[in-house]
Amino acid sequence: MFKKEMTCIVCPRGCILTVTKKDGDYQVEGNLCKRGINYGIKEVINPVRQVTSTVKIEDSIHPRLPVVTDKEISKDLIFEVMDEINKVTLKAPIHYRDIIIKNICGTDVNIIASRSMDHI
Amino acid sequence: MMNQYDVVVIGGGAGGMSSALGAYQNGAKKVLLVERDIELGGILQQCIHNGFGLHHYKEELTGPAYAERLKQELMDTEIDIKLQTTVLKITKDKEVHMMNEKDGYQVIQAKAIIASNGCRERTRHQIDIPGKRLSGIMTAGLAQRYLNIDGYLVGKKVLILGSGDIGLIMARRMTLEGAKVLGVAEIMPYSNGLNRNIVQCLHDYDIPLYLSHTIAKVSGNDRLEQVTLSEVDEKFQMKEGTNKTFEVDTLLLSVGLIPDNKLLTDISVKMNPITNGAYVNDKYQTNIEGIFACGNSLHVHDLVDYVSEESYEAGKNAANYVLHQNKVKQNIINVKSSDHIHYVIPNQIMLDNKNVAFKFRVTKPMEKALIMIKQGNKIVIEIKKRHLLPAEMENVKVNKKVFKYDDDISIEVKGV
Amino acid sequence: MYDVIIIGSGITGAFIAHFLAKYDIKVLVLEKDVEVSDGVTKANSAIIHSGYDPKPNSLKAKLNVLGNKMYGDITKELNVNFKRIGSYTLAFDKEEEVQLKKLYQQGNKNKVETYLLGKKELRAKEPNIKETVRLGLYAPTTGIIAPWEIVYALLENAIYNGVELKTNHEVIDIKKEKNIFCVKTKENTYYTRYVINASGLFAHKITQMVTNDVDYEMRYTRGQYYVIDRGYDDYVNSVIYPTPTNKGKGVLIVPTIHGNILLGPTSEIVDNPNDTEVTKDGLHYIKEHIDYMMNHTPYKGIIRSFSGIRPKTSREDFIIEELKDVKHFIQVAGIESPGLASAPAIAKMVEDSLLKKEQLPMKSDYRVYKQKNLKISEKPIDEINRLIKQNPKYGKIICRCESITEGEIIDAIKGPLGIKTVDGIKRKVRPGSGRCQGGFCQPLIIEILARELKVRKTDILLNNVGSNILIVETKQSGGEK
Repeated sequence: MFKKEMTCIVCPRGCILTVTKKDGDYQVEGNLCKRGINYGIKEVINPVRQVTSTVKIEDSIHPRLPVVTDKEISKDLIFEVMDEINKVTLKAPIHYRDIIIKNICGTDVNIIASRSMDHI
Repeated sequence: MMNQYDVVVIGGGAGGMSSALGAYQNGAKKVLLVERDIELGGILQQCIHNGFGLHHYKEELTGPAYAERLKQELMDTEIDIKLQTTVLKITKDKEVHMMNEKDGYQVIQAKAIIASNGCRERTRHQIDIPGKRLSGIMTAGLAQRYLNIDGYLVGKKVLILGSGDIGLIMARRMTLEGAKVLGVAEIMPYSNGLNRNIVQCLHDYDIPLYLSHTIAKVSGNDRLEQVTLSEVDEKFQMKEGTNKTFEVDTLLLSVGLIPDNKLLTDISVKMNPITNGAYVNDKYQTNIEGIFACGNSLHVHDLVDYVSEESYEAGKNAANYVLHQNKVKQNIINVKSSDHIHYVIPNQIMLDNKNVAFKFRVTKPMEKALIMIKQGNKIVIEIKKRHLLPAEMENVKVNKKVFKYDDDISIEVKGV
Repeated sequence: MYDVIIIGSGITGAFIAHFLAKYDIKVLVLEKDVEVSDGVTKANSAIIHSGYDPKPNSLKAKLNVLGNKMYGDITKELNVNFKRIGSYTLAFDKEEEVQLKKLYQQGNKNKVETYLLGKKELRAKEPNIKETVRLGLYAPTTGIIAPWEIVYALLENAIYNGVELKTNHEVIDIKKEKNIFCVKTKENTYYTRYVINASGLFAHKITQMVTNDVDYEMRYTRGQYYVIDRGYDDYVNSVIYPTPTNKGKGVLIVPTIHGNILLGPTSEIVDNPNDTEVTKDGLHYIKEHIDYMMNHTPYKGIIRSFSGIRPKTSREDFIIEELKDVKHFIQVAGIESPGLASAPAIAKMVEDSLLKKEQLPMKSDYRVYKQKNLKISEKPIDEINRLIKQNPKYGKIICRCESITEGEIIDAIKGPLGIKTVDGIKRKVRPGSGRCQGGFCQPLIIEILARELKVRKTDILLNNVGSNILIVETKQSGGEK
């Protein structure tokens, strides 16, 4: 029988979840709300994360623009995503939520701007 | 003639922007927001990770995105904004002395002032880290600024002291940008960060968390070369024979935040020695009439959403003070923290039939606890909690009708 | 070819350079560190002692009393902050009381104004002195100063008047051929007729370069301190000393010229002149000794701790003399407490010894250097606005804790000393000395330094070579989108 303990991170409460797999079905215990069930199972089958970082930007008030994945991406891809992000150089202006890299690493996830950055 | 404003807000971070909005949307006509940096947003701009806004905007945002949203709300108003302007002092008569390159030194007369100028990081000197003064030892927030705003790594092999959220988040950020993080040390037997950050910033990258550990020594020539950790006992004394040495060029400190209140202490506003913020009533007004405080300069929050909520209220109250000269001084009762409660805000409430939000932190982690809001010996409200953590501020809303003009209110918690 | 090379840019070297600047001779100051005033001078009690403490007839006694007197005029001339706030030396038991009475006698012998005060008077002047106090010795001439500030002002004035300064120039060898000294640094070789060794903790090592006959041992004595934030003005008004012991002056309380409070020092012999560690035991020792004397010490306001090393020698007095076997090599060694207070008198003594050897012509165009606009935010509003009109950068606050403007920082970088490190800027104009210890202003200081000096941000040093703050720029894998 498969069994894994983890801290639920859906909300700040941090329930300690126990995820078990029995006869092909996942069971989650220790959760205080329904979101914990989804989180626990997902964390076992396909853990995903949002990635936040910065990209180089020119002619703007700061030399770096903060960016974020618009959806969560497989945890295993985080460093590949970073490699792609590190290659980009932008020019201001950039608007909040502009797509910076489309379909990063062949996924359906985009890297988008966390904020606007004006041209100076 | 001196320039006049209804409300002057000091600080353009989440607290300042929210309180300016609160003042403006509740009738204050002339509102001025003063920010020393080159743009609004405050510390949010360097907090590029996500996890902000779940309460306030009902969606998960990064720090800069949260700031962007608040900024957009401000742009729809007629609030005056002064950037790159530093407030040098305020007076009890509510003069605001400020300076910038364009207007020079200016004195503005406000009817109400809201201090929302944030907090600063505790440094190595406030926790007596033994060893030399070396390059490579800095606060985590400063390293975060260098990394996220300026685009520089402050080191390549890193140890972090303090498992507060900034420390945890910097462990991940430094790792993603190519540094090797050798561990996070925490003097307490539990982490002070949010669980989500322990999982996603440490567990995900196999970064060890050394609980009940502190720094025995830092050494190096001009740059840090070595940090020695030692385990501590229940009394935080180092245990002999538990030293571990790490070859690192960087030590980041995430050992707490201190509300920055020089502007208020200079005019002798009554301060709370526990929070290092002002004593306030439930209008967020200090003991000087018309001077309000909110956000991280009042007490250090863990969620920006609560900063916004609190600061909007402070702004609204400042507007009401200006418009209606709300000076009701009757039916005031004190609020005190009692067993296992570190502090509570507000420190005074004025009895009426409105709601009050009690904000407090527990002194230690507790499972299955009972929060009791008492007046004298009488329990007025009881709330059961599965988990209570010092790192997480509790925010309990109560209708003030339940209190009588009687004994002080006290808040305590006990295990059940 | 120089007439005089001064090795070391601490308080002694700086005063000597200042006094020699008025003569029409070629003077060079060599400093091993990247910035001046980076050794003993930057980390001590910052007191201009009155002079009752040193043994009568010692050099220390003579030069301390004279030096104290000289500070008034010099600081006025150079526009450096200096205040005589007086001091109380306290006795808490019978033994100390006896000792204090002896000190009073000694003060009379040294011709220092002192008064014995009883408990009542003491506690009226300084209410936070403990009830257990029995007797106090009041010395009204005790003063306070920021040691590096006076050094910076002295050297700025010296450079303005033609003295040369080379920092990051460690002297590695000295040879004397005929009547000329050949002084080697890692970078270059300089020739001079006189050498003045004012190299503080390394005085014996420099002297060893020219003689095998060094007749003293160096004993590095470490003192640890706490610094308390500004804003605790009601704690003390004057310097508070315990009754001194044979170990030294003990743990003191010193209001600083900038409104902070210093607590310390400890007194520990260490092996290494660079051993500027603070230790748990040392910091604990400070609190213990302060608590013996005082109530209501605002430890909550601690913003910093530091260590300084003092160059004590086995001869126990200052050593200011021309080497017997090497003419024209003047050694100034063992300048421990009261070295800061004595420095002007020490320099005068060195100047006089040169004058005894030869007549030095005066410069016809000597003029006192006027420091650029300092402490903008403390000036009257009209003047601030006049300055901001001239240069808008005086309107931009960079250090929020100490209210320091960008204009003041740029002035420091462009000034005669050519300051180029974060610590150098901090000592000259104070950003980073406040509550946040540079947490907010350091990125801005680095930006200004890199911009003004036209170097990369990663080149900016905290203080010495190897102390770079930013290590590598991110996102260097390149590419365009």
